[in-house]
Amino acid sequence: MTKRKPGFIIVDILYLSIAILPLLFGMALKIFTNPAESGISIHGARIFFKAPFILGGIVITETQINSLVAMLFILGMALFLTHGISKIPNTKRQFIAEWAVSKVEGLVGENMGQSFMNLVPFIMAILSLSAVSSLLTLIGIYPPTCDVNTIAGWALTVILFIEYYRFKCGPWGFIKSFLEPLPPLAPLNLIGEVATPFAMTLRHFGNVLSGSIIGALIAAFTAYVSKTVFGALPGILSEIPFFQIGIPAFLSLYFDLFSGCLQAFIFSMLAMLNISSAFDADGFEKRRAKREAKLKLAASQNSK
Amino acid sequence: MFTEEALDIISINFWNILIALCNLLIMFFVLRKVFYNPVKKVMDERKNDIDKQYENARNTQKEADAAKTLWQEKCDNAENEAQKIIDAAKEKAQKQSDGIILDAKENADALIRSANASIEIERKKASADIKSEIADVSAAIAEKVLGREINEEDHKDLIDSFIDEIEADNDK
Repeated sequence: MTKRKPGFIIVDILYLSIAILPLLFGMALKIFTNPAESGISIHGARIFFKAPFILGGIVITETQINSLVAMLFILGMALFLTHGISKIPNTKRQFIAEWAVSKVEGLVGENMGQSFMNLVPFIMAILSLSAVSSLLTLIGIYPPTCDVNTIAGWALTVILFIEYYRFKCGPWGFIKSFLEPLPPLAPLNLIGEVATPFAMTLRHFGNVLSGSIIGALIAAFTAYVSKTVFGALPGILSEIPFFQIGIPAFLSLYFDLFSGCLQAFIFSMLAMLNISSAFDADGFEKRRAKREAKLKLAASQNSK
Repeated sequence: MFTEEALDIISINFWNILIALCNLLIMFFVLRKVFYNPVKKVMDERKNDIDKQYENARNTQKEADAAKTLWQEKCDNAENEAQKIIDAAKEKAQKQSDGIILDAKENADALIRSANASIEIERKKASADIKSEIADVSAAIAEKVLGREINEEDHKDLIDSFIDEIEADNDK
């Protein structure tokens, strides 16, 4: 590695601080606002700000703050990884960036086809947001994926893309896509259309929520067991929850780390499949060919 | 500002859904601008470069192959040509030597012929001399034997026929 210029290092530090400082802020916020808990308490996100407004009022909770934290982290990492990128790689981070891009491109190309390559950043956004949000539990702050509103918002975004691609084949193609394979089945298609965001939302939300509930239960259970087993020990020794050392951390390896990444992957996979199945590539090609032919005809008539 | 309140475990709020939706869309555009496009651009540039270099290498290889076959042909031709030149030179030399030998033979034959001719002349001359000598001598002998003078002019024919007979005897 060649020696870097000081300016380069300063910009690096800036980008890294964009990524790291929000995490520290989130942890500080959690420490300063979290009241002491005793026993099992399973609840949603803590409310920071509440204002009466139409449609249920504006409620700013940990979810929104931590979403912002996750977004800033991703932005900082993206800036850091692409900093100093060049045609001939001279930084190690460029390999990571190119690996990520080529992996997601491979995923999209495999599951959706080459006509969806402009959706690669979208899949990247879903993957990174979902994974980073779930992994926020590792530093002890509330994961936004544990809030059903977050996942619902993402599922609705996916629906926006689905309908956009459905409409690309024209209004008639949009209507026709509901009449397949037989016109009488149109209600079922409509129900399926509405069910998609619900299914995607509840799958992701349920998995993360169950993970966090099981985590809380195990923490309480290990505390109880160590109290009963070591409660007879004299003095301060009886206060130390020995079973809480190691076991919850090991289990959180699955529920937080593995499950978090897996759910991100599954959610993006479902998004890809739903979007690509909504798009009638052949119909779109036909429509475009027809339009081009019409344009050519008009041009030739104009030239006459 | 901070409250002790917390949401229920499942609580739907329209604005929060909208915020999450906007977050994802913002992330989509930001990642496209900040991460995907620069990386993709660099990768494409590199891919184009590599393709170009491969193309160049292929073209150079083709040119080299063509040049090689050309030189091979030229080398083969040169060998043939050299062989031809050598053959032509050999032929020419052969012709020249044959000519020289022929000339020499002709010269020698001419020389021999002229020598033979001169020998013949000399011989004839000598034999004529001898003839006249013999005629003189025989005339003198006959004068002595006959006791009278013999006119050489009168008996010339006789003497000549005699000498010819002797010559014929010698020749046998």
